[in-house]
This record gives sequence, C-alpha cells and structure tokens, in this order.
Amino acid sequence: MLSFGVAALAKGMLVTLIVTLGASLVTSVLALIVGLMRVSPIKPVRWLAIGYIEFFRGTSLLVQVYWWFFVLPIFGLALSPWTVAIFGIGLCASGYGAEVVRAAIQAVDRGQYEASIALNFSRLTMMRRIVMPQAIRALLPSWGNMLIELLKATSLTFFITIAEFTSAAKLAADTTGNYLLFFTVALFGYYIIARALITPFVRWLERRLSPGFVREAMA
Amino acid sequence: MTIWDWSYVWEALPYLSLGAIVTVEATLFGFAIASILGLVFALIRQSRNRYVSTAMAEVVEFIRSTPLLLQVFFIYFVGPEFGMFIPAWIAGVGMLGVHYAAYCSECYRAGIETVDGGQWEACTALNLSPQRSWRAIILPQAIPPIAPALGNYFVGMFKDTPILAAIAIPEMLQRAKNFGGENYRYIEAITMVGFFYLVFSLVASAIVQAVSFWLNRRYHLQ
Amino acid sequence: MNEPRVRLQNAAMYYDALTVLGQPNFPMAQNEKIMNQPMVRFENVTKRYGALTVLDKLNLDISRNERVSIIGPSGSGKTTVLRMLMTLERINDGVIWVNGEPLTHMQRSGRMVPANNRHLRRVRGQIGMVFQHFNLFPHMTALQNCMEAPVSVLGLSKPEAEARAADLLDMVGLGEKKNHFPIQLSGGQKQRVAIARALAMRPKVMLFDEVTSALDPELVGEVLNVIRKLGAEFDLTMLMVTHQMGFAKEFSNRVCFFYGGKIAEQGSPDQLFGDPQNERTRQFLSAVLEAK
Repeated sequence: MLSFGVAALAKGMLVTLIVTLGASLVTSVLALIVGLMRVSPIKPVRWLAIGYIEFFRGTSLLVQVYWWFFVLPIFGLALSPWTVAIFGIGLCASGYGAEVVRAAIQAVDRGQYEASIALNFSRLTMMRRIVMPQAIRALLPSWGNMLIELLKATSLTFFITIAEFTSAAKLAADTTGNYLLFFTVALFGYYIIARALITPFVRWLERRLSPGFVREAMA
Repeated sequence: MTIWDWSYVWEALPYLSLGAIVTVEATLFGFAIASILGLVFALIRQSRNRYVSTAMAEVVEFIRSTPLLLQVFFIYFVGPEFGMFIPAWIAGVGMLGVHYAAYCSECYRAGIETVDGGQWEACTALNLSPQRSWRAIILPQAIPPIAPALGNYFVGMFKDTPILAAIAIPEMLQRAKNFGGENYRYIEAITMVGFFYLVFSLVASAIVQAVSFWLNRRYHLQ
Repeated sequence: MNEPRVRLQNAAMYYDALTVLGQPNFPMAQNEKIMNQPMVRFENVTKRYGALTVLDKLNLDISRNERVSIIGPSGSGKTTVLRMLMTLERINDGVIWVNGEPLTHMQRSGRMVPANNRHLRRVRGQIGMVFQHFNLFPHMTALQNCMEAPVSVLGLSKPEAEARAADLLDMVGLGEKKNHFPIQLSGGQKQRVAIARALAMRPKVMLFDEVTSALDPELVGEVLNVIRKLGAEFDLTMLMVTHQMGFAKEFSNRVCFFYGGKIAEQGSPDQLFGDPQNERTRQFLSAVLEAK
C-alpha cells in the first residue's frame, strides 16, 4: 500500500514539474510580448495589451481553465488536459507577468532614455541594448515569485483530472487512509521545490545577469 | 445548436447567484481573518527575540510556497483522522484566511519598515509605551500606504474561492460546472461566472484605489 | 548585547538618592544634598559600534539648570552623548546618572545591573529631546502632537492636555497654527512644534540635537529665539549639540569640544572661543569661522 502511495507521489511530482516548466515558458514569452506592447508609443497597441492584462487577471484562473476544458470542445476544439494545464495556467499568469515587465521597464531611470536619445540610438536599439538588460535585472525577483505562484497554481489541474502532485497525494491518502502522512509529505514537497529549486535558480540568474551592479548580500 | 442560448442564461442565473453569495461571503470572512491575522504575523515577526521572528518568517514562507488547495485538504481531511471533524465551511474559509494572512503579513512588514526610524525615536523621547507607539504612531503611518496591496489580495482571495469547491462548498464556479453537467451546456454558465469575476475584480480595484486615496488623505501622508 | 555589570562605585550617592526619594517629606538637609548633585552625570561611559569606539570613558557632570553646548567635528561622538542620555543608544560600559539616580542601571540585591524597560521608562521621563529632523507625527495636528504623550503617558485628561499644549504652542508663537498638520508647516515651525511637544512632558533636562541643521538659513533665527525664551522662562537643564557657534557662545554656561570620542577641551564660552588651549580646538574653530 505504502509503496503504491510513494510511486503515485513520485509520478505526481514529475507531472507538477513538467506543467510548471511548460507554463513558465508560455508565461515568460507572452508576458514579455504583452509587457512591451503595454509600454508601446502606439495607443491601440497599448489598449490591446491593457485589455489582455485585465481579462486574464480579472477572471479567475480556474474559470479560465474550465472554459478551455469544457467550452472549447463545443467549437470542436477538444484540448487534452495537458494542453489546457500548460496553456491555461501560462496564459493566466502572463497577465500578471506583463504587469511585472511593464513595471520593470518603467523603473529604468529616465536618464537612460535621455542618454540614449542624446546618443541618437534608434528606439529599437535603445530598448534592446539599454533598457531591457536593466529591466530584466529588475524584474527577476518578481519573476521568481511568479514561478512559485505558477508552481502552486498547477495544483488546480486537480479539477481537470490531471494526476499532479496534489491529486496524487489525495489519491494516495484516500487509498491508504493515512491523510496526515501523505499531505505532510506533499506540503514539504512543494516547499522544497520552491525554496531549494526555484529560489536558488532565480538568485543564480540574478547574479549571472547583473554585470556592473553591486548586489547586497541577500538576507 | 446555437453557440449562445439566452434561455440557458436566465435558467442558470438564480442558481448561480446562490453560489455568488457563498463566494462573496467566503471572500469577506476570509479577508477579515487575513487582514487581522496578517497583522499579528507581522508584529510577531518584529519581535526582538531572534528565534521568534525567524520562526515566524519561516512559517510565513512555508504557507506562501505551498498550494492553498493542498492546505485546505490537509485541514479538512487530517482532522477526522484524529477524531476532529471540522466543517467544510470553517476549514475552507479559515484556510483561505490563513493562506492570505501570510501574504498580508509581508505587506504589513513592508509598511512598518518604511516608517521613518525617527518616529520610533520620538516615541522613546516622549516615553510612550511600546503598545501605544504601535497603535497611535507607527501603524497609522504604516497601513495607509499598503492599502492598495492589501486590496489586491482581497481581489486575489475572491478569485481563489473556487478552490473551496474541492471540499464540496457550493460556490459559484462549482454550481456553473454542475449546471453545465446537468444540461450538457457549459458555455453560458461558465462564461457568466467569468464575467461576474471580471466585473467584481474591476469594481473592487476601483474601490480599493478610492479607499487608499482616502486613507492617505485622512492620515495626511501625501 | 552584553552589558558588563558595573561595580557600584557610587553606592553612597545611590543610597542617598534612594532613601531621600522614598520619603515624601524629606528633611531640608537631604533636599539640599539632592540639589547639589549634578542633574546629569556621565561616569566612565563608553560606547562602541563593533570595533569602533565612539565614546571613550566619558566623564561629564552637568549641574541643575546649566546650559551646556557640545561642539566638535562630525564623527566626534557628540550626538551619541545625547542619544545615550535619551536611551536611544545602549552604552557598553559605565553609568549615566540623572538627578542622583542611575538611568542605565538599577539596583538588584546590592549590585548594579542593566536597567529593565520599566526602570528606563521611569527615569527617562525627566528628559525631553528635540531632533534634527523634527520627527513630528505626520498624521497628527500640531496640537495632537503635543497632547499624545501627556494623555497616554502622564495620564492627563484630554482638556488638561489640550490646555497645556495650546499654552505651549502659544509660547513658541504657533497658537494660530495648532490645527495644522506637519506637512502644512515650514521647517522652522515644525521644529517649534517639536520643542513644544517635548516641553509638554515637563522634563527637567532638555536635549537639542542639531535642531537648526535641517533648516533653511532664514528659519534658524525663529527656532533659536524659542530656545532663548526657554532659557529665560523655564527651570531647565539644557544640553545641546550645535553648529551655531554664535548661539553657543551667547547662550551656554559651558562649551565642550569633542574630538575622537573624548572631551578635548571644555570651559566657559569666553574662555573656549576666546582663548582655546587645545590645538584641535583652535583648528576646528578657525575652520568653522572661515566657512562663515
């Protein structure tokens, strides 16, 4: 019985990791695009981005997931639970991510824009060579938090019958009747992924991407 | 078969609005817990005893890095194993509150830390007791600036209430799904729920803006 | 932080203070004994930040109603003296006495041990402080700023505290502005409110920590005038850290020149400004006067 539970947990953990990784890729790409659109000088582009952000942030993640899962098949588009999990979570989180990107870009010192104009950079060169490298460094801590939120959000795929970590823990606990053991293991499992995997990874990225910035020792 | 059928909308409306009441109640009760317990967490975190403050920080960190769904399961299912039956409503709303209390405590902490150190020195020089210093001087300055962030968590809690469906609390989305299942029509009910969430989020954000503006004016912090 | 237990070097003095304070109607002889004691006494006080010694075995007695100015280059430890006396900084060694009673320590079974919060709160009630950056409570009006502590610490009723606060705000020339919030006041006005706020606690000792340094030059005068007025009208022992040499010369009974965590030279204003003995003092004064 117990070995069955352990095997289920291990498989669930793997599913959770895959969905987290996939969703974070979707989110990162979309958030970057929409975040850049959000600070575009062209008004309609900006409005489009605002609509996107408000829509995905305003409707609950689970509502969106249900919509993809139960409503889309009506239009003849039956997505696999995996696709719904990765893209559903990724799309929803990209609304938040876009705001993070916008804040990071707007946090870049105005003097940098003025210097770029004084040096006669094109807008594209300015964004690519001057603004983005500084903005990326500024958004990394928020991005790390977002990854942890993504990790937690994968638990919601429980509702569309994907056997990820939480579902696996529930299944194992239901089968063995030992709720305390399996739920405790699962809680610490998430905690370890978040604090021993994601946080150090983001810290490492911060160090890698911070040439010319003296970072204070993180507490 | 039409894509959008208004007759289903009218049929689902009373059924969903019962769920909406549950959702709003859960959010309000949960937020009451989160905002008070969050402050308690933040104050414990400020303790001069290094072990106490580190332990509090770790607990907050733990709550923040594990999924609410799993926490709700834990509270709801582990209790009966030891003969403690916790009603679903209390387990769900309570855990929602505790989960967001961890987030709110980080907000409060940020607010407390931005209060100028000179304010504490003035409190010492005027011989105010620590309790009075917190209540009359520090917190009135710490809280108004973080009102928008707390408000965002209020909206966030609202959007997390569907998780309570996992322990059979009949909130709005759960009802939409049941309605869809019974009628083999998901599109209207789920879209309505999404629309309700969107409207609530936008309205709540506007109210949060207004309240925090008022708070900052009220305490002359701008 | 480990505060070393200090041997009771001044046991006789301490017991005198204790027995006298314990009796409501003490005989005149002992009353005079208290009156002759220094209002503030620093006894071998040492303050370190890590490896850096900011104050090194400071000994300084300040008599009742004396007005002492502390001058010196930045980093000489002069502000630290005030902050220690206000208990904003802990001391590493030595004892500070206020009105014949130890402030930093208390008596426990015949030995001096570091003071607990209750003791600190009781003894430091005799001290008031005005800060360089005012530290007014931004969410309270000038009047509320002056009422908060009298109500919540001294237990005055609201009307009593309000009358006291209004009087003091009149005294500093801000009776008209009593319902203004700090953000609506100029720097000089803020500092005058801060002085009124400290006075509302009826302290015996007032500490002024570079109170004009954060002010625009044209606002310095109004604050100094208020301090002059305090000197004339109140029974107050005053200890001020200042960069206003003219004011220090005119107003104080004694000037202490701090250098490298020690008092390098002290004396009457005429003596210290007119005929400084120490080479450091001469250098400092000529540098300051040159800048004027």
